[in-house]
Order: sequence, then structure tokens, then C-alpha cells
Amino acid sequence: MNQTSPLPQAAAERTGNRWFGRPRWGVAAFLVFALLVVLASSINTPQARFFAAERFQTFVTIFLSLFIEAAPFLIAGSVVSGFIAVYVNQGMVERYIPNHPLLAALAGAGLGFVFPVCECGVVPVTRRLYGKGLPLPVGIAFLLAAPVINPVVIFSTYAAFGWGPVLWGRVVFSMLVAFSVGLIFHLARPREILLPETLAVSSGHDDSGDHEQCDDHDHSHDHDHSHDHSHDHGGSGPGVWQALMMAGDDFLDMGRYLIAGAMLAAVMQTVVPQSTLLTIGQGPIISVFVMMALAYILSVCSTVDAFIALAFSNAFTTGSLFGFLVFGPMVDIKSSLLFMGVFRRRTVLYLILLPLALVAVIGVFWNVQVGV
Amino acid sequence: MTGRLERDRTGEEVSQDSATITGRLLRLPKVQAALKGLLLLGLGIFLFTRITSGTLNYYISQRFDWLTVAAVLGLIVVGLSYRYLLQEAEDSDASDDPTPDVSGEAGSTAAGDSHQLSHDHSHTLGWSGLVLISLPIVLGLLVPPRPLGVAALQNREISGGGLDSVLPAAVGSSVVRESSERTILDWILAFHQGERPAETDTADVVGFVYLDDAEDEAAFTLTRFVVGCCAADAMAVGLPVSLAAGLPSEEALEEGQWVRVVGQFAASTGNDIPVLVAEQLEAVPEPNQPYLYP
Repeated sequence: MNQTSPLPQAAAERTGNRWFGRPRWGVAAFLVFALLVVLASSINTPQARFFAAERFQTFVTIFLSLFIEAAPFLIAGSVVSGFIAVYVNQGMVERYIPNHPLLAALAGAGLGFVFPVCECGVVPVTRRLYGKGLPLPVGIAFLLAAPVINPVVIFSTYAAFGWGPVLWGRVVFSMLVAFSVGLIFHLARPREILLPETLAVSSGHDDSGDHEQCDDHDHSHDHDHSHDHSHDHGGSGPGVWQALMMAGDDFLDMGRYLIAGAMLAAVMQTVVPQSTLLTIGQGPIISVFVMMALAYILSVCSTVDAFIALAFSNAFTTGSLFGFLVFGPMVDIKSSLLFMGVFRRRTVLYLILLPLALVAVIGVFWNVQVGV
Repeated sequence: MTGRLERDRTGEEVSQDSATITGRLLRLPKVQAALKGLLLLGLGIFLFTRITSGTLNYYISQRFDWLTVAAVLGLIVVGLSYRYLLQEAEDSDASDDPTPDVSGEAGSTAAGDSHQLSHDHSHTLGWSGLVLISLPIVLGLLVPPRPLGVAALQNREISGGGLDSVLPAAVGSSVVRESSERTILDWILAFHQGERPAETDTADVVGFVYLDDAEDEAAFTLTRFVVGCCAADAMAVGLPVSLAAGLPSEEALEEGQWVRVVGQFAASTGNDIPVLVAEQLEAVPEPNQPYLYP
């Protein structure tokens, strides 16, 4: 289990697909551990022993409810991703995405209007777009912003809060954070950020310094990728079926993260007392972090999380609601697990910590300075 | 240090090689395609059975039922698309191709092959993936479907406060609704709006019995879960109920039992939520919609 040692990392980079072999045992061990915790926590007192079975049932109900709620969005995102794979080619991506880094990050943050996906769906779409040559910062901005900046989510937030600071604050701050993080990643090289199988791109216009000895390999990789995915010209079958099949692959790839994340969220909900989190969260600073933690743990889909935030809107500060509504869609347990299917692990950490820091600053600033 | 790493690596290789027969079998394109297709179909059918058995709303709000219907259709269509892949695999088997090309591209170049390999690998469904993906089906079939109940109250509180903000529309509807038609949620929202029970108000509410935490003068708390989108955001609401003379005593009540209570509210004693004095108490079967929706 010495995953931090350099040699297996290097080996993983070389083979390019071993990465899945390592975390999966971690995931399996974690799940077993989580189940034990659920069971053990319910048989402490003789009176509670009766609840052991019932509590497991509660866990199953919450787990399935998260899965059933998220499945439609995940399958929709996968189908969009499959059709992008078959019908969007590299030229189209390059043509419509601006070159200037500022504009590119901005375009990424607004791309959710073109591909309306929630946080489960956005990851396969982003991965697919990277395969089509989407520049790194655009993808990052899209990944972070799209779960909020899309018609469905804006509508659900409006339904919950009406026109007001919560609605426009959510939209503006999500754009702002996604844009900033996207810009930060403009400085990075795709190869250091993305997993080898995500990275299928000729290093692109924004990254001219990236031509090293691996360049040839990269180019051939890129070539056969676009070659491989343009089935509609191959005459070997209708593109629709190809797209659907890729959707299936994506659904199964991403589904395991969703399921692991839903299990974790369900364990938390079954074991950790809700009041423990809520009693802490009244101060202008601590409440922001409490709501961000809650958003991370609950992992509720961004299309519906506005209604959950509503339940807390009286007990909590508006700044902390931004913590919930801006940070939650960007990063939560299940999406950070999904990220691991696209990005290197260090990048996943940055993708959690950068939005965390930015949203915390925004939330605390709002509480202290605006105070509404 | 290096020795340990070496051992780790060889260990891994051994473990990878030792799984040859089953592992290779699992990795056959045909097996993969069949498994993936069946898994997706299985998930679709599983969701479908939850719709037809009427247990779907144990999990999600009825507002989102149509999404599940869409998911069933999507899963089935996507699952069926693997049939096409199976045929491709058979065709390429027949055409004497030693490596059946998953993407269905005949005459692939060497580069294409090497890519094919990595593409294939990253999408390969291993044993752990297989187990994880089938977990919803397995757990769903092993554990009989039940809505959240008393056990779920062990780590959350029955909420009276913080509710007045739940959907302004819901508050409006509770005012319009006849008092005898109000749900537990409607009453609680009304009380939080500052409404006091009138003498003539008769409550007729359904919920489950929760014995712990009941206030002194109350025998139990009549409880319902309120669900915004799915059971993960469920919030419990409850009315304290005391029993009028002549009704079965507290001991006869079973925790978790669904009951219908008809009665009037006692005069409020400074408490936010007045006690409901039950004049009529009967056991009822669990309602089809166990949760309330704001």
C-alpha cells in the first residue's frame, strides 16, 4: 500500500493504465471498512442492537436514493459524451475555442450552456472533450462551472430562492472561481495534469513549450485517437450505435465512482449525527466551512441541491449558503472520485483545494462585509 | 526500500498473471461486451421494477419520477447497443483477425492497434468494477425496499425550526388547505407562521409513531419525513401527540407503526408546536407515498 513511492508511479505512467489497478483495492477495502463501521456503530448498546438491521436498511435506502437520483443525469452526460466522441472532431473544438487564455477560460466557464450537464455528467464530457483537443484551462473551467452555469440548475436555483443574492451570487461566484482556477491551470502542462489515457492531444496552441522527446509518441497517439473515433466515416456501422456504446463505456467507467461516492455519503448520513455539524455552524467563518463540508459529504446533484440549501437558509448565513451552492457542485465526494478517472492524483488534490480556498474567501468575505 | 518495491512489483505481476484464466476470459472483447450490455440492461430493469412496484418514491421525490423513466429508457437503449458490438466481434472472428477489433475498424494500422490496446484497457471492466456496478442491483434485491423510518432518526433530530423557509409556495398552500386536509408538515409550517390553533380546528393526520424524545405531556411524536429531492436530504417533522382518555395506552403503541390521529390541539403553553390531543387513533397501513414533499 505504499502508493506514494516513486517507482510504482513511474510504472503507472509508463504503462498508462495501471492506475486503475491501485485505487480499486483501496476503494474495495474502504467499502468493506465502511460497512463494518455502519454495523459496529449500531450494536454498541443492547437497546440499539435492534436497530442494526434497520440501520443497514436505512443505509441501503439512502445509497439507492442517491444512485437513482443521479443515474438519469449520469446516463444523460454519458450519452452527450458519446455523441461528442463520434460527431465532434478536433477541428471543431479548435475552431470555436478562442486562443487567448483569458477568453479561453471564460469560454470554458460558459460552455455549460452548450453542454448542459450536471456534476456527474460533466466529467465524462470533459474527458471526451480533452480527447478532442480541448485546451487544458478551458476544460478545467468547464468542469468547475458547468454544473452550475447551465439552464437546468439556474432554473432550479430560481425555483428555490427566487431572484435575489443567492441566485446571482451563485452564478457569478461559480463563474469567477471556475475562471480563476482555469487560468491557474493555463500555466501547467497537460501531460503533468491529465492521465495518459485522457491525454490524446497534440499539445495545442497554448502550450508551445511542451515539445519534448515524447512528442512523436504523443502525435501518433493523437492521430490514431482521432482516426479511431471517427467511425462514422469508416462505414463499419451507424455512428449512433457507436456513440451509444461509448456512452455505455463512460457510464460504467464513471458509475463505479458514483457508486463508491454514494456509498460513502450514505455511510456518513447513517452514522454521523446531523446535529454535530449543524451546532457548530453559526459563526461567520466556521459556518462557511461547515456548509462546504456538508456539501462535500452529501454529494447531492447540482440540479437539486438548491432545495437542500433552502432547508438550511434560516439557520445559516448567506455566505455559508454560497459555500454550499458554489463549492458543492464543483467538488464533492463523488465528483472527486470521478476526477480520478481523468486527472492525475496530485491534480485532483489541486482541483479540490483551489476551489475550496477561493469559495471560503468569498463566503467569509460576504458574511463579514455584506452580511445579508 | 528498493527490495520492497521490487517485491511489490513482482507481487503485482504474479497476481496479474495468476488471474490468467478467469482474468483473460473476463477480458475477451465478446465477454466484455456481453457483460457491459447485461449490466446496463440489468440496471435499467432494476430501476424499472422499482417503478412498477411503487417503491420508487421510497428513494426519490415524485417530482423526479420522470427522470427515472428516462434513465430506464437510456440504460436499455445504451445496453442494447452492445449487441452491435457483439456482432462486430463475431464478424471479425470470422474474418480470421487474431485480435478482434472492438471499435469495429478493419485493417487497423500498428499505431491503431497499440491505441486500441490502451483504449480497450481503460474501459475494461475488471472484477472490482463488475462488483461495484452491480452493487445497486445486489443490495436492492437482498435488502427489501423500505422507506426511511425510526432507525433513520437515530442520528438526526425531528425538526421544528428552520422549516418556515421551505418553499414559500408550500406555506401558501397550507393556509388555503382545509384544516382536516392538512399534513403534519402543513401544521408545522402554519405554527411557525405564528398561526395558533382555533377551537374548531380538527387535525386528521397520518404518520409513524416515534416514542423517544416525546415531550413530557405527549405520549409519542407523530412523525413523517419531508423529502426535497431524494431520501438523502430527508428531514423529519413531527407533532407531539397525547392520548385522550379511553384510548390504548402508550405501552400498546409500537414504535414505527403507522397511525392515523384525529384530534384537536391543546392550548399552546408557550411551546412552538402545541400538543395534539388524540381523540381517535387507528393503525393504518404504510401510505403509498411515505414522504411528504414541500
